Amino acid sequence: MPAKPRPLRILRDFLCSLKLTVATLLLLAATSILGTVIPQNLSSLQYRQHYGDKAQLLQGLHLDDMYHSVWFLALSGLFVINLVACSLRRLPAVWRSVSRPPLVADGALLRSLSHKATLQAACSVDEAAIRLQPLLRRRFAGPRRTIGPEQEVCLFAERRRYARFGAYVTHLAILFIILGALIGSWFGFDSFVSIVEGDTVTQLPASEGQAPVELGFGLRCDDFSVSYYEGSARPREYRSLLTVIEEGQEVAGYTRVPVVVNRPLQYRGLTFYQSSYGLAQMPLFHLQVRMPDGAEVQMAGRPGQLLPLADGGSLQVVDYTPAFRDLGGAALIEVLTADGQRLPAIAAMQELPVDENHASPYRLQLLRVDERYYTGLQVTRAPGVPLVWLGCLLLVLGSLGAFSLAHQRLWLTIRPTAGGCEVQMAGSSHRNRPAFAGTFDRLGQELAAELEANNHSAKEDRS
Amino acid sequence: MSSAQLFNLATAVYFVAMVLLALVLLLRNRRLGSLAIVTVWCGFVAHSAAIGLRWLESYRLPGAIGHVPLSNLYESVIFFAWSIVLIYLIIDLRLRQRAVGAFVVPFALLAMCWAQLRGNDAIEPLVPALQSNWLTYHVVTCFLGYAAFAVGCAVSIMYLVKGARSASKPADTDDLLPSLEVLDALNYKAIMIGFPFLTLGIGTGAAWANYAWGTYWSWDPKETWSLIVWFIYAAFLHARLTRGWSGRRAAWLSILGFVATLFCYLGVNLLLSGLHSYGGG
Repeated sequence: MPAKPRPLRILRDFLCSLKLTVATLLLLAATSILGTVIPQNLSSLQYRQHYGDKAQLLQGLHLDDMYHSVWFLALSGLFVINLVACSLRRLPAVWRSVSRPPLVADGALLRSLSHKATLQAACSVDEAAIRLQPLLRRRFAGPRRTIGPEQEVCLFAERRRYARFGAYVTHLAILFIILGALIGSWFGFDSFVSIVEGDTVTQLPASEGQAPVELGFGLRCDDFSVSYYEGSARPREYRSLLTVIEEGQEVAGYTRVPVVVNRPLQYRGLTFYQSSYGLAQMPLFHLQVRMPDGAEVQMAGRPGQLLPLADGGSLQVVDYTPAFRDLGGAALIEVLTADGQRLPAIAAMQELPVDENHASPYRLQLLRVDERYYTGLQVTRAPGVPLVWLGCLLLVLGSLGAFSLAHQRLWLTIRPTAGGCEVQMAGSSHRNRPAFAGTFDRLGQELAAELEANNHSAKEDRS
Repeated sequence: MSSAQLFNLATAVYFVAMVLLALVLLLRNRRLGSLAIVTVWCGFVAHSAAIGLRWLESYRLPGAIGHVPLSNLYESVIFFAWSIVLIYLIIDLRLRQRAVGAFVVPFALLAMCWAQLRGNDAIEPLVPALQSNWLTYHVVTCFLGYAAFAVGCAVSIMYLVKGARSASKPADTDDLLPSLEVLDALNYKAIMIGFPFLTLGIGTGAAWANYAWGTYWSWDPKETWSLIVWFIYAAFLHARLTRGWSGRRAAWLSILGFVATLFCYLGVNLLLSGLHSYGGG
C-alpha cells in the first residue's frame, strides 16, 4: 500500500484518535451547561431586559438558541465524524480476529497471553485430544481441531465472540438516534390546535410564515372536563372526548375517544396530545333571586353583564370560584339596590348561612354555571421516532454487552513427549480478566483430572 | 408501625453501621467487618420494608391516590439512598471489600438524613403528567444509575485518600483499604454498572416525554444535564482505553461525573426551572 501524503495521514490519525473522542465529549458536556443557565428562545427585548449590554454578545454567539447554533452543531458533527472514523478504522481488525481466529497458538501469540498452564499425561496425543474435546464442549465451547506446523494437535475454542461488537453496536445506535432526529426535523412537524367544545377543525393553524396544514379529516371536541382530587385544588385528570370525522361521517372506533395526559390519540400518522385547556367564552351564570316581596325570579348572565330586577335594582356577576369553603361553587355578585346602594353578595350552589348576605335585600342562589371550554392539543407527526427508539434499545443492549460480556478464547496444544504427551493450555478474555482467571484455573483442573483418569484407565489396561 | 418510623429506624441502623465500618478501619479489625455488613443488611431490610409500607399506606388514603413512592423529592431521595446501599451490597457480595462501605454508607446516610430533616413526607396525589407506568421505569433506572455513580465517587475518594497516604507513608500497607489497583478497577466497574442504567433512564424519560407531551427531547435543563452526565461518563469510559487515564485522573473524572449527577438530580430542580419542577417539592 503506498504511503499516504503526510497531511492526510495526520488528519486521519486526528479524526480516529480516542483523545479527540474524550475531548469532544468533555467539550460537549461543558458547552451544554450554557444553554441550561441562559434561558433559550426568548425575544431580543427579553434578553436586553435580562442581560443589558451583554445581550448583543450573547445573541451574536447564538447562545439564545445554542443547541441549534452552528458551533454546537459543528461540535456534534465532529463527534459523529470521530465516532464513524474510529469505528471504521478498528472494525476490520476486530472482524478478522473474530471470523478468522488464530487456530494455532504460535510463539508470539503465546507470549501475549496471560493465562497459561501445562499438563502432562501418559497417553498418546490422539487419545488426549479425543478425551479432551467432549470435555471442552461440555464445560467451555466446542473446539476446532487442527494440526500445527510441527504436527502437534491444536484445539481452539471460543465463546461469546459477538461480545467484541458491543462497542460498535453502541456507536451504530448513536448514529440511528441522530438519523432519527434528522428525519424528524426534515419530514416531521409539530403544531398546536385548540378546539372549542362542539366544534370541528379540519386544519392546523399556520406556523410563522407558512400556510395552514390541512388535516384531511375533521376532528371534533365533544367535551372537555377537569376533575380534581377530593377536597383539594390539585387536578386529577384533564379529559377531552374527541371524534374523528371523515367525509361528514364519524369514523368507527374513533368516536368520543377519551384523550388524557399520557394517553394520546393517534390517527393517520398524526398524534394528538392533551396539552392545555381554557374557557372559550365567559361562563353563563344561572341565578335564582328571591325579591324582598317574596317573589322568585330566575335569570342568567355573564360576568360584567348588568341584570336588571323588577324593583329597579340590578345584579352583576363579578367573580366565581368552583369551591367556596365547603359549599361548592359560588359567585361573587355586586348588588345595586333600587335606592342606589352598592353591596357585595354571594350566590352559592348551596344554602348559605343567613349572616353572609344580611345586607342584601335579595336572597340569591346559584343554580348552575354553563362553562364552554376549549381543549388545547399538541399535534405531531414524528416519522423519526421509531428509529430513535431502535437506537435507544441498541444503545442500552450494546453498552450492557460491551461491559458485561467477554469474548473468551482457549488454545490447547498437544505434543508428544517421552512418557506420553504434554498439553499446553493458554487462554485470553477481552475483558474482566480476574473472572476469567477463575474459569481458566477450574478448566485446567478438570482437564488434568480427565487426563489423570485416562492415565489410570491406561495403567489398569496395561496391568 | 408507620413507614415514617421505619425510615427513622433504617437511618439509625445505617448510622450504627457507619460507626462500625469506621471502627473496622481504625482498629484494623476484620472480624468487626462482618458485624458491620450484617448491620448494613438490617438497615437495608428496614429501608425496603419502609418503602413497601409507604406504598401500601398511599393506597389506604381516601380518594384513590395510591401510587409508587417515587413521585417527589422526598421519595426520590429515599429511593436514591436505597439504591446506593443495594449497589454496595451487590458489590460486597461479589468482591468482599468491607472497607469500601466506610466510604459508601455515609452517602446513603446523608441522603436519608436530608430526607428526614428537609423533605416533605406527605403522600400527595399524582398530577396528570405523572400518572403513567413510565414513572416507575424512568425513576428506577435513573436512580440505579445515580447510585452506581455514587459508589464510583466513594471509591474514587478512597483511591485519592489511599494514594495520598501511601505517598507520605509508604510503609503503612495493612490499612484494610483495598489496593490502588482494586480501587481503580472498582471505580471502573461501578461506572460500567451505572452507564447502561443512565442510558436506559434517559431513554425511558424520552419515551415518556414523547408519550405525554409529544416530544422526546426538548433541551429542557433536566434533559440537558442528564446528557451532560452521560457525556462525562462516556468520556470516562473512552479515556480508560487511552494510555495514562486510569488511577488518579480516572478518580477525579469519576468525582466530577458524580458532582454533575448531583447537580442533574438536585441542582436543576432547586436552582433552574423546567419540566421536572414537581421534583422540587
